[in-house]
Amino acid sequence: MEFEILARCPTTKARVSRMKLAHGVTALPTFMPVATQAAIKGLTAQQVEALGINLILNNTYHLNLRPGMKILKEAGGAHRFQGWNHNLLTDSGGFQLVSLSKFTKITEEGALFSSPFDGELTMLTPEESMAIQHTIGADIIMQLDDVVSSLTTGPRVGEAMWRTIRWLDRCIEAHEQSGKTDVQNLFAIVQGGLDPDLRDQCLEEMIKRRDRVAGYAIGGLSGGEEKDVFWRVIKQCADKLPDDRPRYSMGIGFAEDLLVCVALGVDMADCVFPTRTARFGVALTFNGPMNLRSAKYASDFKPITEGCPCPTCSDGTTRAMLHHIVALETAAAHALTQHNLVFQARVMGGARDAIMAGTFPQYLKTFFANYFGDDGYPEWCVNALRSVGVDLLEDRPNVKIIPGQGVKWDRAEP
Amino acid sequence: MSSLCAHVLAYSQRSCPIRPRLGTLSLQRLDGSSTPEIQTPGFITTSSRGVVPHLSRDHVRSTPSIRWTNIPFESFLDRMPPVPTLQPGSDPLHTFTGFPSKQHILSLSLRDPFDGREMPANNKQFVSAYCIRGVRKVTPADWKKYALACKPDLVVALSDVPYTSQPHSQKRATKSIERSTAWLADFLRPIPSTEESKLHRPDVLVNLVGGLEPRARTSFSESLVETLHGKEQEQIHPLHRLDEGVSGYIIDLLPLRLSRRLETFQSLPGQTVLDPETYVELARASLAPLPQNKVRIAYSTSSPHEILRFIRGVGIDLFDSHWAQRAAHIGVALDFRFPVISDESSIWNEEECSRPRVRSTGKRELGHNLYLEKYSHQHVRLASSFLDGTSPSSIQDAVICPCELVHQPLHQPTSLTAMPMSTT
Repeated sequence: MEFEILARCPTTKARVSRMKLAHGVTALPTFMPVATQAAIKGLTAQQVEALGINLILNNTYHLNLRPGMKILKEAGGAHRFQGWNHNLLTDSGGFQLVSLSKFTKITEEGALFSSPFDGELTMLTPEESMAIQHTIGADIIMQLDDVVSSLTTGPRVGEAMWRTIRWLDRCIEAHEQSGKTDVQNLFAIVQGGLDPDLRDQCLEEMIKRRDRVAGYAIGGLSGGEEKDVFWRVIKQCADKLPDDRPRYSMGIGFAEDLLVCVALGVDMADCVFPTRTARFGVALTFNGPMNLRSAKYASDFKPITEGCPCPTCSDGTTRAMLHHIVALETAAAHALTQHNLVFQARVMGGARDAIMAGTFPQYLKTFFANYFGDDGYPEWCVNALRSVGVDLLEDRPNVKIIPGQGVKWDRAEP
Repeated sequence: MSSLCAHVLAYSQRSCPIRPRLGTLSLQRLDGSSTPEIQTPGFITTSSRGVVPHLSRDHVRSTPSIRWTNIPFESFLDRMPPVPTLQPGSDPLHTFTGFPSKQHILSLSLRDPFDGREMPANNKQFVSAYCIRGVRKVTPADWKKYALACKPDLVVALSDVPYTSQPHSQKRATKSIERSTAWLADFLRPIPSTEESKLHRPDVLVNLVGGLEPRARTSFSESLVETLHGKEQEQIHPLHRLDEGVSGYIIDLLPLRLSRRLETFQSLPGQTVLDPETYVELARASLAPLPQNKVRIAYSTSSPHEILRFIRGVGIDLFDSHWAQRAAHIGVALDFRFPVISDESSIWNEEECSRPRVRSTGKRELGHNLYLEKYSHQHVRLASSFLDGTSPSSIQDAVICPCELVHQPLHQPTSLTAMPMSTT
């Protein structure tokens, strides 16, 4: 991997960088769409490529179950299997320790999964996770981590953090012995729950191994924790992680979360949110989400967003047409998935342009003003951005402040 | 008013009056432009709620064989007035559904020709149509109003095809013919001469009704070509015959199949195999009295073999591709050619792509059921029948991993729908 910082925001911790991997160059910060089972649901690889996306994420646990490593080996890896010639990241399967916890038992050796399809037991060890990811052939591979829900408290959090460090060492050994370090890049994952001390200890240990990992991820978040705690953990990690390594915040997808994370120094993020919400009929816009199931769009002949370059808007697909087919025809899921991925790319591309131009603070202010309008700003966003020198209220002192998550929704009416 | 231009390029050398034929179709628009030619025999793409199922608009654009799409209107009846009738612009239906008028021909029918569910009875005032909020009554005046507001290229005149429980009486069949004739005449009635309506009067297709009775079918067709007099003629003035206002004929097989199935079960308990030529004969009864220069369309053919029978028997020009699109929906990648390729042919290349399996009857299947385990190890293209480069499609030449398709419910029908569409 070649990692080069091209510009820094003079106010915040945001930066623009260039990450060169075996399948091309990706500009950071970026959002990575999730292709859990080797496909962005609803789009062909050619369509994803046409949207300008060049880094997507596959899921090791799911690919190992189906189609399985035998088939992936026959195909020559996940790139060829899914017809994707650009960069690919695989997570390690650690997240499934939480999302599929009823099928899982953790030991020091690894995680024992019971297949949800046939009940067959599979032991996913750090070495096995590496072997699977080597077969998949992703450009960025993640260490197996012991993930606990971010709502977990008590000794289990510390136990998982220390086990994650021990598993990182086993992953590094397995990866270095594979002979694939020149084409596949191992990222460590910082754990430690919501406890600042545990996070510090984890950071310290992982930074000691900086010469043997290509980048770092911040894991164990986005699991329902308070947003005011979330951003403080991100900031704590981003501040301490090495400057010359990419930083990846796992499971972040809301536009406001992405921009706060970028301001705190994060380079990469992934989430199923934009594609999943598309399948539920929600289009993302710079003025907030648009729930196309709502009757108010039934005879609205405007596109989702005027001037949006996505295939759906540029073709003139109207909100009325989308309302007519949403949740009833898969073509609606295709159209909204295309739009939402372009929206995510525009949010991050706009951030990159603004950082390069030295106008990122203004970009943030404009985004929040448009996105939340008079509904009010989430308090945690205001606090987080103040911590890096951006006062969202500077030009709008009377805007409402919303405590808690402050997520904006467009609720469907009958 | 645009006009459908049908040119017969060649007839088969058979001596019968209704013969197989090759031709071209295009739509000449008022501004002098015309849509790309459709070679016939060819296909009409079927749609659901105004979209080609499983295809995004960029996929529709990149599939050049999607040239003529039929839009069933009934799904839009869940709102009053129906939303496409409110679409601004000169081509409301094209604009609303996203089929550019320079590239696509759109026909509009009230009912979905593939929906054979039992429905409340029609009467002389209205036809029962189905939308997501239930059954709606659509009068001939409503239909004319909707069609003129949507401005499709072609509109299927309202016809009285009962979808009530079978069997239907002789009296009901007679009413069906009378109402369909009257509603066609009403549709052809001149429109008050506002500029806009002059510009956008769509071509008219007529559903050839008459049920399973050949004489009734012939009688309906004869009513189209007979010269009208008196008040009847005044109604359609300046036309003299209903057929003068018609651009093409539709043979709708679904209601025939529903009737025929019941009839067969009643007469031959346990016997489910129908004589496939029965429907061709019924189509011939309808087409015999009609002129040869207009487009002939058959809806709801159920297999490529039946399509060939209809081409051979009555020279059908256009078929719907519903069965092919349905195959994609259930995970079947079509892979066949006519004439059937012999087992010894050099076209087959098992290393590059396996051919469809041969059943114990000795017949080769029409495609690949991608749910079968064997396909999970085949990292090759889908269709083996075009390895000699005869495929007209770039999509078909792509390598698509079958096992990827069946694990992704949104992907399987998308990729497979594009494939059969591209071969049509």
